[in-house]
Amino acid sequence: MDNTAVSIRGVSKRFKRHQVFDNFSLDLPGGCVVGVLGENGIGKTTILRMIAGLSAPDAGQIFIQDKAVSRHTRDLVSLMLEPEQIGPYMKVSDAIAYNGDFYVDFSRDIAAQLCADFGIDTGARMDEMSAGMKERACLMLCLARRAKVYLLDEPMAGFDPKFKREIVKAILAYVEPWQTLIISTHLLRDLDAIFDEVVIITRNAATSAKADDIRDKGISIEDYYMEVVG
Amino acid sequence: MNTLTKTIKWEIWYYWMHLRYWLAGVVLAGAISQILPVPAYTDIPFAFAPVVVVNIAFSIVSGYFIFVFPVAGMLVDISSGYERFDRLVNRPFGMLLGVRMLLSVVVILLGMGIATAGETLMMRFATENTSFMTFNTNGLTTVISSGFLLPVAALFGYMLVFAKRAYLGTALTAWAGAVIAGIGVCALMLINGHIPEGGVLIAVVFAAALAWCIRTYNTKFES
Repeated sequence: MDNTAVSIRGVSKRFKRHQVFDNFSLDLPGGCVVGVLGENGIGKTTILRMIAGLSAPDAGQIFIQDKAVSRHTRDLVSLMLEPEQIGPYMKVSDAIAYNGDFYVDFSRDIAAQLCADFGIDTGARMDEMSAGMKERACLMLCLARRAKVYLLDEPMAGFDPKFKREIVKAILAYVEPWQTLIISTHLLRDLDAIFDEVVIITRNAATSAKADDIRDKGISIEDYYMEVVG
Repeated sequence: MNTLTKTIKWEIWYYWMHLRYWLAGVVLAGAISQILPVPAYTDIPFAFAPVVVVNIAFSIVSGYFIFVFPVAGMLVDISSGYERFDRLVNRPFGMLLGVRMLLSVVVILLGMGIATAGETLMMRFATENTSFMTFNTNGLTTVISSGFLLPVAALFGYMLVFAKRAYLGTALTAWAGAVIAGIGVCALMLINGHIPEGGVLIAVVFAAALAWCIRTYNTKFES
């Protein structure tokens, strides 16, 4: 049985003069935590945005569980938003109600539990919250969905060490084996313990490895990353 | 509820969140105009007279409702595409745009109602002191004809605050143009002897709005 959650097929993407991908292909396995790593500007965020349907490839196609990315695949994917993408006039409770209305897989119970775990005041407006609290709210909204695929772009940036541990705990508690978590990050030491699969993107190519195989070699994922990117 | 009904529900909520302070402002201005006595024309500077304040308040709000909010909202929707969370929902973009266009018509009608209400309030000043008859009491005409500069300026202010950074240069240039045009209109008013103080007040509003936009720009993008 094919266990591919996301399949990228011959994708090309250019931003003005910068060709990010040219006929790029990659398969991301399902039912696990996948770390997408790479240097700045290599296209990690672009990949996540294309999977979410926020950005269209110039050529090629992306499939989520055999369905070509379209507005319909948004029901399969839960993207961690950036705080500025949520209206500043919205209270956290408004954002929860909004998501609850539009996403059938959104769990208000999990949202309430995550708010309690993360110390989020549901009555607070987005523009009244600290930067860290806004990020927590975004993460809460993302994880409260029971989506097939989660997309987290640098989820650890801006959090204190204590809360980073809370995030890892939440991921382990709320993400189930049938779900796929794709995390793009530079902060390897914070997350390497939960990676099942590591994908390192270099210029228009990708190297994949099982995290356990890397660990069995007695090296850290950061060391492996350094080996690959040179 | 189906997706369309939910979209209408949340768009009405979204519009209310954006417009409620404007509505509060016009209600406050209307209430003040009813409570305060009409001052004698020579007692206080004309620019501070309730008749001017009320007229400007109603002109700004109705102008914003008729010109700025619908047009600028549409421009931001079209230019920023699927950037915001409300566009990540599985629904055709046309549905969101269509609902917003229909609600914009409601907002425009509301703006026209506010302009007409302002006109009615102005008539009180006109009947209590005939010298105010020279002041343009047709609120809707004022907004649509001579008051177009303010909404235009506010439009670019709106773009400056809410649009993407790529539009900042355009918005700033347009703002500068609108301010220069506003000063020009004020100068013409002064030369022709038409409500110069009102013109000066409009220029002050221009300058304050510009300062506010620059401040917002600095805090929003440079921090």
